[in-house]
Amino acid sequence: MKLEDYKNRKPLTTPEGYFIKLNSEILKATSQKNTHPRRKEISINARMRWIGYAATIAIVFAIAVGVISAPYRNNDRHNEMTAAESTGYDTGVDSEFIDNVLANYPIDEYTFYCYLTDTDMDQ
Amino acid sequence: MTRNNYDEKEIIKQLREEQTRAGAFSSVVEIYSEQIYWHIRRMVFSHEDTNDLVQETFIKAWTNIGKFRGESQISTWLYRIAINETLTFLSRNQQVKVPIDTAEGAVADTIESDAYFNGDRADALFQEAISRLPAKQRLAFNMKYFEDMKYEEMSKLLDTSVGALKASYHIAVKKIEEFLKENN
Repeated sequence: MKLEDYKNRKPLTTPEGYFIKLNSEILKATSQKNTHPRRKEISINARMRWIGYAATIAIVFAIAVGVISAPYRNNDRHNEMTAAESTGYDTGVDSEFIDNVLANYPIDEYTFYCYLTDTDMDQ
Repeated sequence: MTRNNYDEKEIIKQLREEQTRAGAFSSVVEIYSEQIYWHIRRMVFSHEDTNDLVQETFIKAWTNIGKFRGESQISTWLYRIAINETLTFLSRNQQVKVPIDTAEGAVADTIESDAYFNGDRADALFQEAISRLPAKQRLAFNMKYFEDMKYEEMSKLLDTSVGALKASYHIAVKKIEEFLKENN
């Protein structure tokens, strides 16, 4: 007998009416068992809504940080100005121009700043 | 729903809804239980063991129905569970495996005396030849030979390459033919 010839032979058998009984036994067993809960699926709309919430929170946080830190930043700026004024070097002239002049002309720094700030050299 | 008006998409839809789940699952059992039974029976031979494994397969399918996302066919999903159950059973039950030194024909004797075997000596020897194959080779042989499954489908079910399955099937055929030649 060739191998192919065994294919259509059915030597394995089951009790009579077995499959009807099997089905009812399976259904009886499953009716006593709970299914595991389905994994929650998040729809695109729900996802977008959550992204919206997160973005809103981030914006509110950024604004809050900005508002809280604003007075400190103003103070810093004020302090910087005061420092510049106290040195007397707040000339309002581009520092690059100043460097260029000091490097190329026979004038000392103090004299030049006095000239720029219109200060009397004797003071 | 019966075999005649079976609508896979509709069944999947019903399986996902709690209200219709039990009814849809009943249809799944009715449609696939016999197919799954024979798939397992050819692997483990004993009717009683097969009966237990089929029930386990469907109970597992039912309890894990929430994990079935409908991306594969219901039959593929059930086959995967059945294969896992069967391979676990075979690896746990050493007595089902045929030791290499078992005299040729001894398994056929046992098969012939089984209450649910209705074949002749040639059939019993053919069953013995299959039972002597390693579990995964037996699986590949059965799926191709009896169920006429495509290698691509087998590959998806067994997570094995098509090439490896083809080789596995041809080796199995050769072993069975040699065994039958020596013992018939």
